[in-house]
Amino acid sequence: MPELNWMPEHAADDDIGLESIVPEDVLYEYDGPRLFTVASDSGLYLCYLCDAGDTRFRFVVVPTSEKIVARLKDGLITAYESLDQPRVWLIDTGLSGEVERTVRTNLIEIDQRFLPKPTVMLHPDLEPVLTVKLQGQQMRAGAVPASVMKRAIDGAYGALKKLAEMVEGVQEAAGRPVRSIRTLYDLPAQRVAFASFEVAFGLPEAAQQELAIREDAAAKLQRMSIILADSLEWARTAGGQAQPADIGLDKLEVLDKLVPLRDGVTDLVQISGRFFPKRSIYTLDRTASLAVKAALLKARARDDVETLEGTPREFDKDKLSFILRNDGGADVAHCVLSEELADEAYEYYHNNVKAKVVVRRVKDRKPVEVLGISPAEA
Amino acid sequence: MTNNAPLTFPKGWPAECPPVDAADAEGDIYRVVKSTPPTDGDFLSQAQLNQAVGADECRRCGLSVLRTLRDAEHCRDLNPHLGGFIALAAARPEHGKLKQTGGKKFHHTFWAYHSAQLVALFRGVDGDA
Repeated sequence: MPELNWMPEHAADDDIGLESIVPEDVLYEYDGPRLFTVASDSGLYLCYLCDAGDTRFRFVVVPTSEKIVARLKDGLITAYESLDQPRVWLIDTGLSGEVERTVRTNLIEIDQRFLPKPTVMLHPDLEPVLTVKLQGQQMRAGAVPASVMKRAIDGAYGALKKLAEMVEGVQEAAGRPVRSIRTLYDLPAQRVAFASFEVAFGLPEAAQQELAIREDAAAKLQRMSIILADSLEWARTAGGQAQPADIGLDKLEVLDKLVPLRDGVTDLVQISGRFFPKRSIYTLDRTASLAVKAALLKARARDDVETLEGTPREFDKDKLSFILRNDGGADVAHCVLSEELADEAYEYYHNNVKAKVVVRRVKDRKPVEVLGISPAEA
Repeated sequence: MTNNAPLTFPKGWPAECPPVDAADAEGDIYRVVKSTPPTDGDFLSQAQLNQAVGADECRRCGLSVLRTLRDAEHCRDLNPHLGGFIALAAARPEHGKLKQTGGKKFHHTFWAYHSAQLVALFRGVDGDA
């Protein structure tokens, strides 16, 4: 192996009183300990083996705490985040751990080839199923608008729900979906990070898996992931194509929940997680947003989508449905709603307000699916 | 061609190594490697590299392997300096012994028989980092 011939530009010799690096709590090993804690008189340190040569090891060493280690073990922070501390050292040791040189540096000055990739967790089982990260030039930790957080959470939830319905084939069911498919999309939020805004979802919790679909939930999640990966691949390239391929209305509606909004502080949405093969990270920018919107307009024009007017009556909160009636009191349509639109539609019913309702007619079924609702023009 | 030579481990290993509860190697095993196809340098144990003297002597003689591609990709992404590639072998009893070690279900140690030609056994996996 070649010797360690790299060093951050502004690294300065230092001494933190460690004579040897002897692992105490080994957090990850592969051909020996790779990430572990070391206890010393000056406190607890987290050590990460970042490089190895013929005669020495090089470690990233940072002060740590039991709380940080617990968060790392629980999948609440990534390996990189556990190392991203105000004080960072590189320590070279011999092959049995005896310290030879200590330099003070910053994590950002260390070549990324020698650090964990930013999104990787301590163990493979801790990897979130799905991570949605919103980024924007105006976003910073402590100043992320609530609307951004809502978009990330609602977008991920809505996309997962749509995917679950596609896989289960329950799109034609009226109103509130059967409880069993909630397992597939009402995933527990594993972590939330605020430097940009990121929400990560884990696997369905054990308690939820008492339901009928527990046995094949893994297979269904995998099918959902294939559909989502396919959709995101389309979005990645569609913006640059004059006539992108037709991926169908369902996939476009999934994408519509995830792409950056046309206005707002979010410039980019990054999507990653165990859902995807080869640990791919998909980045959606406003070019993707425009491509999705254009394709949606085209697809909805083809599908049996129309706009109706009337006032919502006989609102059923259990079935998430209402009867749309015209000014003369005649029934216009029996409408079914998604959970995301339910509160909004209820307001029209409750306040007796006439609405313009965009609906999709599903062949041979009387209830129509509500895609959007807005005030009717006076 | 049939090879009836007894399967032995390299000389110099400690007594009772591999441990008695290590099973015959069977199934896919993955290594993170520096090149594709891999080279001999990708299959040197800690003992061969003179690393971690004083640690568990028997485990130092084995090689860490993962049992799924996902676990191997995770290892590669957590430890980029190990190499940007993943190699896969279809392990069989005549190649060596295998045991889950280290208390983490994804980590296994593979003790290769002296006769196992590891460079020939492992092949690169498509779509590496």
